[in-house]
Amino acid sequence: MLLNYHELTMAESRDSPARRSQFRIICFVMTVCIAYSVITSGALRPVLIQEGVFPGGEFVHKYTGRDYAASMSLLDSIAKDIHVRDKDYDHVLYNLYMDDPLAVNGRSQRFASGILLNQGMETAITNSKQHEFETNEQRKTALLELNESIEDPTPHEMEQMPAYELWKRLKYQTYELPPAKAAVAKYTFSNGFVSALLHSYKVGL
Amino acid sequence: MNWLLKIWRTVWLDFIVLYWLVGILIFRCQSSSYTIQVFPALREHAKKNMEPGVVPVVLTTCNIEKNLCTHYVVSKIFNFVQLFHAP
Repeated sequence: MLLNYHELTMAESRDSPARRSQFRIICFVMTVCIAYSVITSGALRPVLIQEGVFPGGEFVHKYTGRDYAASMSLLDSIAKDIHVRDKDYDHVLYNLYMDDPLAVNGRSQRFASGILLNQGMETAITNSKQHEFETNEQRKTALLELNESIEDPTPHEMEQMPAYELWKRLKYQTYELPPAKAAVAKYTFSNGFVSALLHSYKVGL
Repeated sequence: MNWLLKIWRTVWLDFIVLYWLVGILIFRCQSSSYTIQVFPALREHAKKNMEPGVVPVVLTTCNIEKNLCTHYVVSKIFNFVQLFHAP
């Protein structure tokens, strides 16, 4: 659309009022788009912390060390493996961040992404009419069976491989996370690139 | 100064939008408890309420339909973290 608009003024001289008007409109539209992205990604929302309880359950996950901004893409690849739709992520798929990003560089920030199998999650998935796997045991088995066709990446590949290829080479592991008292914060998230960039900022700096 | 006037005539609308954004940020930052950073705030909160020496762990789950993430900092260390070394 912007390119077509640009072509409308191709015959104009370089400093004509029409060109200046075109530049003004393009700048304004871009500024409004950026402002909208920043606001919807939660940049200006304060953090409110409450006491709560982490539900616990069996965590079937993949573990790696990359910049925390990449964690949502690993979660998306796991969601595809287990056929969980976008709208069912909430309290089903989790990212677990282990390091203080103030102290650790981007390539070494450890995190695990995976599905938390517990009774509450099973009910939520069943209520959303997702019957591909009926029980948590079936989901766990399906994910662990994928390990048979996965070859572990070498240390060099761990370092150099692009994230979207690395995710496929990581094996699933399981761990029982106990329920625990927790500090809880809710935060706006737009799942866009501004949100991903902001995610890194929110974690560290 | 003519060139400065030309630039101003072109981008004055953008300045209004940006001033509005910066204005909101400055207004919010006047509150001493204001922060937009989730994890440092959660870690700080957890450190105050947890036993000394415990490493806080952050768990995040997101509702993509509602554009909302829930972040937990557990107040009890998981042995889980100790299983992993830096990759």
